[in-house]
Amino acid sequence: MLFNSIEFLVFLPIVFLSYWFLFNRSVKLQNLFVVGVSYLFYGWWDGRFLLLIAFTSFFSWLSGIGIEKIRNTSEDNLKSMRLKCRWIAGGNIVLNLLILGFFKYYNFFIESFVSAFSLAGITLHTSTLYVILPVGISFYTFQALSYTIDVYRKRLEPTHDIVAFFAFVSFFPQLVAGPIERATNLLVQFYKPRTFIYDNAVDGVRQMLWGFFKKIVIADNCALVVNDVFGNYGHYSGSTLLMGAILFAFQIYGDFSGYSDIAIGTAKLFGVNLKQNFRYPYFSLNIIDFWRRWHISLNTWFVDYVYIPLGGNRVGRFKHIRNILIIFLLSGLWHGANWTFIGWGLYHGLLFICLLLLKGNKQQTPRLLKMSVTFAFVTLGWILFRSETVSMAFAYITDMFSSSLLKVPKVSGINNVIALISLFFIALMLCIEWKNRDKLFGLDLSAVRSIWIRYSLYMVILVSIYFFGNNSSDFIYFQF
Amino acid sequence: MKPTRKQFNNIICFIVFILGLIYILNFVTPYLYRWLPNDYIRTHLIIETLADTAQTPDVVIFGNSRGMSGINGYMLEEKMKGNPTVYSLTSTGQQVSESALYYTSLPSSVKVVLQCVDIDQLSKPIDMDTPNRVALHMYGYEMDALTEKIVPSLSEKLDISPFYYNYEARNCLFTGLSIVLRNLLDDDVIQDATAKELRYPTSKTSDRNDITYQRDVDEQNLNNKFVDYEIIPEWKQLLEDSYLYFQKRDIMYCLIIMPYNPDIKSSTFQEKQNALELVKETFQNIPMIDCFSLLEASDFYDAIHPNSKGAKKITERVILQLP
Repeated sequence: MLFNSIEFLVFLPIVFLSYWFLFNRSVKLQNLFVVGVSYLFYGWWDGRFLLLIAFTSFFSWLSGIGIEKIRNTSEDNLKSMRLKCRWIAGGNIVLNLLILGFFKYYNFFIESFVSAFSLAGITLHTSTLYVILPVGISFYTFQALSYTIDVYRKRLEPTHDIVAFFAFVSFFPQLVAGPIERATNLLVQFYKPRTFIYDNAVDGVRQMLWGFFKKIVIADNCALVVNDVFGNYGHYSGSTLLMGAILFAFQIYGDFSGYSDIAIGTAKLFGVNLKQNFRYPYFSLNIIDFWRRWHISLNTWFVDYVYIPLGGNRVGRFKHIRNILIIFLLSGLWHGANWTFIGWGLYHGLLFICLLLLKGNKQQTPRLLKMSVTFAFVTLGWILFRSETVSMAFAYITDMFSSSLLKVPKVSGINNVIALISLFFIALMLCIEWKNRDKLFGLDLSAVRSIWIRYSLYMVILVSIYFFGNNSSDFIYFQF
Repeated sequence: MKPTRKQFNNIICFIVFILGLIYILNFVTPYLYRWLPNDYIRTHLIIETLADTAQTPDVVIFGNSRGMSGINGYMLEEKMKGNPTVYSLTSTGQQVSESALYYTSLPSSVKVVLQCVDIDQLSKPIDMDTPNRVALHMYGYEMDALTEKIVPSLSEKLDISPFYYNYEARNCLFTGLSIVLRNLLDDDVIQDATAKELRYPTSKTSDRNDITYQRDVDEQNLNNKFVDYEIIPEWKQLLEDSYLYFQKRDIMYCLIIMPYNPDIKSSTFQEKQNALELVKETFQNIPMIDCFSLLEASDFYDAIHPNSKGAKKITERVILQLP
């Protein structure tokens, strides 16, 4: 089920009212309801993969129980106990990563394997499978893994409440495209009764409205132009390709941060607090700052569970650089089974390392210039991210930096106008977000005293969503 | 702790407000749709023209945008015997099935109906794009019983709740603004051609758009339209029923096989020939003017639309070969 669909418009009020008025007799009942509606939400896309998420949830929960049982057994010595716990945690991690790897990377590895051998003149005959990628698998798998690892590291007590755990993994607002929540934040909220806080709920609705605006008005309209430009890049001028790249930067931002806003806002309606996932990344002053603001939940996951265990920055320079490259490569790989994503991760990793080696940007550079330069580097990376192949990305960039970069950008037919209208709404969004850059989300107008201004802006956004929203299209991050 | 009574009332009020707002916006949409320019305004022109008893065309042309740019009504008026009044009732996306919706509304003055046909359409099930259906609804089209017999498959597709049509038309503000801006920015557009022109509603001033031509051709080359070509029985039935209907009205019904750009090489010559032969064989009783291979690449504005040179060639052939 998409957030931007009629089905969700009907689903949400029914679930909301049932949650607070019918199923609020006990925490367990309410959690059971959450699991039920979350599975309904997920199953609306494809019911076959409900078993997969249930499987992941069950074995992750079981791993926690197993680790606890071993720790409580006083018979074994400490070393043996630790080894057994490691086996259980490791086993669950490997199992989940194998599942993820199969669904996401099987064909990619087979094809890459065959290509590598063909370079050496050896022809291999293999078969690829038509494997459907379950929506949200990367997100809920990482979420479940975080539980196992936190239990193993004794950061979290394992839960015996299987219903609460299933609710944690499958909580529908953040199930298919994040934020990737930690058990230490989200699971614990399912242990205790939720309280309806009116102001939070109002805030949540505001955040959802902002999310819908970014997704439906900005991202979906940018997508029309971006698809045209990237699909026909050989026929367009450098300036048009630049415009296409910039629009994609805002398409992916509007799409992904919009989804996160809708997810966080929806969760607030149910008395659940999710972590902020985007913090105005295009206002970043450098690449390091960008990665503290973009897809925060994934980046902190890699930092906590990969970077720090590898030694983080508390090792020699060479190992520090290695650790940075590893997490960026993994981040790229996480996004999908294509060399473009790996290339994108590597690109950002190299930028990150360069900035570190230059000991950051300590010059007295104007803020706007820093933001513009950072945005330019990030946008270059997005070209690689969006392209179908690495060679296409290089061809795109080469064509972009040609003499036609100085021409007036022009796409085909009505897309010229869609580009203009999209740029207008992007400018509006940036103004609002700049004004509220110290708030959790762009449309947090709690500080605006004038009720007329607040409600006028809400009406403008609502009417824009209705009249200027494009037809529903999938969220980009559903493919991850 | 669940919401208090007051909070619950506020929540209900909010839900009612949202539903009310959607209802109001939905209600207002048709008025905006009819007031703002849009790419389907020709549907309004066609319906209005057919309803106006003062309009007495002798020859009418039906078809999609290829018919709009491909047949010059002025030239037909000038060169056809008797200098008939020619109306081009072509419109964007108008397939034969949509044209058939207008047949029974044709005035008694009509003697000849020229129906432009893209033969690749005949291998796909009869359908109508949503924007075309929306336009028909918005401009007040109503299907009569006789039309329902000619195009039964469209009857169900058109019989949908007005709420749905209004919802689908909600982008009218966007497209209206787009068209206004496009008319300002694009100097290749003939303004008002779509909305008002009844003889030769081509909307382009130039004969070729170099920026889009190759790109459009590449796009067309991705799709082989004539591989394993077969005519869907529904189309056969529709065209035969239409022919019989016009026979009863003593109106000449003639199909014009619209040209195919030779730069589109996704189909082989043999595949195209086979398709064309099948069409001629299937509709051998219906008068037909074959323009399929008439034009050269230079006669096209983009991959599929004839330019003024192409329109001249097509129109001349029509004048020459019309029975």
